[in-house]
Amino acid sequence: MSLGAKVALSIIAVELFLALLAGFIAPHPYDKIDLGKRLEPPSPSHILGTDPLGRDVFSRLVYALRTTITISAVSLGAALIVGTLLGIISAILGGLVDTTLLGVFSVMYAIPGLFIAVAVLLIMGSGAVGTATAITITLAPMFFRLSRAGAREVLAKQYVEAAKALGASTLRIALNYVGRELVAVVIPTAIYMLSDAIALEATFSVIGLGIPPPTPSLGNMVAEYKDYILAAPWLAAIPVVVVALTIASLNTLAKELAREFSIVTEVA
Amino acid sequence: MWLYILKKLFSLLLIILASTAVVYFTARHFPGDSITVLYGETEPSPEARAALEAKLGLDKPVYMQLLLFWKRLFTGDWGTSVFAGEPVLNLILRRYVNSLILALTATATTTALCILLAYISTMKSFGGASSALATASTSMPAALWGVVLMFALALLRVPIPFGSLAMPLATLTIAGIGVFYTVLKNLIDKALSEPFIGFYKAMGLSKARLFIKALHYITPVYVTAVLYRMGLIVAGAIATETLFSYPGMGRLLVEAFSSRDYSVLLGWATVTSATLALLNILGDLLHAYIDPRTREGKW
Amino acid sequence: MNVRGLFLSMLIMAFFLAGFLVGSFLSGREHTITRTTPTTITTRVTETYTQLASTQDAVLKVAIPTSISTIDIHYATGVADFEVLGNVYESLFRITYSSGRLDYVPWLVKEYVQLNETAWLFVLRDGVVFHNGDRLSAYDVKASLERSMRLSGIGKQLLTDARGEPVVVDIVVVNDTAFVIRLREPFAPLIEHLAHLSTAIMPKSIAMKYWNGPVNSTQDVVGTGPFRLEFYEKGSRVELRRFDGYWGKRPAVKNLVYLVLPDANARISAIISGSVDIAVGVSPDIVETLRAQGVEVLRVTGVRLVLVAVNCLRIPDARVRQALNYAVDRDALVKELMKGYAQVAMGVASPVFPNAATLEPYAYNASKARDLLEEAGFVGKRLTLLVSTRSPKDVQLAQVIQQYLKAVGLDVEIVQIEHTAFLKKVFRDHDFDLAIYGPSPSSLYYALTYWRTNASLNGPQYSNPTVDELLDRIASEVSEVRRVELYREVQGIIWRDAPAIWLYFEDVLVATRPGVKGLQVLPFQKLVLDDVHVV
Repeated sequence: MSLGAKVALSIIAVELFLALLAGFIAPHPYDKIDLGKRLEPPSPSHILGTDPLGRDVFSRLVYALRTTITISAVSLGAALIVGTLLGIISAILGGLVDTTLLGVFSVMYAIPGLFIAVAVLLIMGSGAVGTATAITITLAPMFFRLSRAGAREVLAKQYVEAAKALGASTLRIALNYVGRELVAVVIPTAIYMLSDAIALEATFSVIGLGIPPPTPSLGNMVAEYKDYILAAPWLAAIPVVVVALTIASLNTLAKELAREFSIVTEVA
Repeated sequence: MWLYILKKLFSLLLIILASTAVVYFTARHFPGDSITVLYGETEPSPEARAALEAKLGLDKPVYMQLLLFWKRLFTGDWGTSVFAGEPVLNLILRRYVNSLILALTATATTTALCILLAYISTMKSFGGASSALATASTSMPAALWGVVLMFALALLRVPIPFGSLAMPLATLTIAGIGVFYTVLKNLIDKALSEPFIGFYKAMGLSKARLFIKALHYITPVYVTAVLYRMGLIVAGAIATETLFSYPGMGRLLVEAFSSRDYSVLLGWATVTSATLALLNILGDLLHAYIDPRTREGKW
Repeated sequence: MNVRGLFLSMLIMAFFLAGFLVGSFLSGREHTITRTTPTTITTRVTETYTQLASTQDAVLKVAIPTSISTIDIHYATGVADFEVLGNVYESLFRITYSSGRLDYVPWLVKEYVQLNETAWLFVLRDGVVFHNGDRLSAYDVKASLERSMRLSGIGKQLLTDARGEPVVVDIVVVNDTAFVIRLREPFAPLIEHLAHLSTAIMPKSIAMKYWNGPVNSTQDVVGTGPFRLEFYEKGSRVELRRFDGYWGKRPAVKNLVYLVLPDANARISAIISGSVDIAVGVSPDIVETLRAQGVEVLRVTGVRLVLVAVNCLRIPDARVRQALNYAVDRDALVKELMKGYAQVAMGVASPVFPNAATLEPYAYNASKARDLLEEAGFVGKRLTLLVSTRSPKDVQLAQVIQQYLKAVGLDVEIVQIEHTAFLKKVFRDHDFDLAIYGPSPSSLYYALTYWRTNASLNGPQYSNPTVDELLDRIASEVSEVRRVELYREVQGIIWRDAPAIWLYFEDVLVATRPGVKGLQVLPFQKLVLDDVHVV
């Protein structure tokens, strides 16, 4: 493993650790408002300073990591799994199944994220579950598209035909050949989408769907603190840096993984 | 072949109908309607409300209005927006063109930059830099890149051209590098290892000329990949348009939704779903041409 | 494979390029009114750059946070609507602000006299011309006022009595320049209310054309104001041009551009970089930084009363509502959260209104709050607090309120709702326990009409027959002295009944580049551009 990958892995590990043990690590309650101590720069008692309501930024950050990691993992994971599986199935089965799924996902793709959020909000109400569902539905079509196209590319290759002729079951082909190749496509896309997933939460909050205050998440910290770039630059920078580091680390790890799967599909 | 195209057009129509229906139903069921927006906290008199409902077509059941819109869709009468003060079709056309220009130019500039970065990465000394830049690009969403750019200009006391193409273009380019660099790089690497490149190399072509030959080779594949990923580009555009007040489709959606401008929303959904579906179909077509093995049909 | 594929992809790109060319040609057919030269996207970009680069002081650019929601002045409800359209339209009277007090002066009216208790005669100014060239006549006034009373939510509210009946019986045109307004009963706030832009004057032909609904064509936006509507790109920008036939003082500004920048950072960058001359909607937290960057910040006491409405049907016990008032530390809110750019509420109406009463404050006293709650048996309850997503500051405020109420034993859940849905939920459905919002009335009487039984702006559904009766008597009271007494009395009752947690009056903060001179700001967040010039 290269040095970059090792660094990346440790960053991710630290974040997971902080998120898991947020309750024990946070020096202050994340919702303790102290109007007299607003927007303070980092100090011994508040190592990352205080937010616009006087709350400890570090405490909010570790809880935010927990919230965001949970929601992103769940929603992105669900979108990835559902989208990719259905994409592969669609490619393998073809015919009516393919046409139907293609139609459904095309409609989902065509409807803007905002309306998906509105529909979810109407049906499920606001809150963490609704937010995750809306993110999943918004992101799934891209995975479907890419994995379907990628799967069809793979399935058309000669060695797959050969395997089929030798009697390999459909399932084996799907997992072994298609699955392996798609990993190189799907994982980087998922990481690229992570920053969108985090930003989506902020977008959805405009219509009222999102994590209700005062619970922090990386998305709402980025959105809230960015208005303070000039008044308190460190504050605006902190969640952005955390998100950037996370994504960069995941990217590096993904590239490392890609080296293991040396074959790459062309288009998708 | 023509049956294939006909089938695709039919599915395009279905997609438009389905997505406009979903958009319309969700918008109408969301609390608050156009009348709430026009009156704000105040309340219209019963006569004023009745008159307005009749005028806006809100007195009919929801499915009825949708059917009426679909009927008028093909005659080109998409209604008049009471909030924008002009016919819906004109408004959407104008915004659509703005967004189209933004998307096309952004894709072009991003591609140009990615080509440059890919070339740099083939040079021994700076190899890692391109990859690092691409990774950096993905680490922030487009909207934040916009904010960074904005403040950079502000603190340098450079007037910021709000409302023009320049700012969203620059922002989406920076944000887009992350999306397209890896794709381009993988394609180039693969192309450069093809036999015909070896042939040209033996003929004595320079590194740059080889690179250009590889680019020629991968163009159709790259275009297809871009077409498939248009959704990612469009997603970043909405926040960027709002930030820089660029009059595009993204901004229109947010405005129309908060004003509950149902005619505009329907027109918007029609045009957007048609475009995205069309892009996907084009992508499939191109993909099928490139690789006939991936044509439609049971595997 | 390669040649064909290459050809096909070139074809696709050519198709897009063709679409682009056709489209940019088509887009030149913008719906401008006076401009006849079509402009393509590229020319617009160049124009913007040229405008910014040149030192014409004839262009004034203002950044506003929300776009206008309508081009029809009688349907205007938001701050942005009145700000922009207030340059295009005028009313019979005008609201001015000097020495910290509001005043209502004759504007399109030259002189007026009260004929008897229920009839007023008005004589219009000479030489007033609409943007379409027509001269202003009493017929236009009659049509406009009738349309306002018929269609405008605010217009109706302004000209109805405490029982919800219109106060105006009819408007009689005497001749081209004079008319009489006949009232059902004496209505003291008449003059003040005729200064509101919701009663603005438009040509009779246009009023009649849109007798049943809002103006929906920019060609029909015609008023008497110093600027005319030149260009409107919905949600993005509005351009006004000086009207050469204006009856009043000719503004020094030739082109007035309103740029909609919803993002606070965008407005800040715009003013610092000089991309705009004036920026409205400045947060108190950024004032110091702006000044350090060389930007000037004007500050005016505002009329906007930020409050937490308490649903009186769900919480009928006044003691509970008073307890809520004691539970919140307003001084801390004003000093820390608003950094001093607000006035602690000591009454139900802003001190800029004449006759606004200063009442006994609800000093912060958490234990008193707890006692009152216990006394009323309102312990351990769960309440929902609704807040609109439109203002991040309101969302912050909600979290602070949540903490204050938690300290007195009440569990509060914050629910964020999209703005239009919020309006419906709070003002139509009354489906809330607590809700944060901030009304911006234009006169004291109007401020008090919010609290009339069944008034449309009465979110909390507060109802007190004494208050209704007093408002009625104030309107019909002839004696000024007696009226002032009644004003004080009714304000005291509403204050003590506490249908809301009274918080503070927000200051209006406007940022300007140092070269902008002569700007005045009204307490309703309205810019007065009469004397503005750029050096």
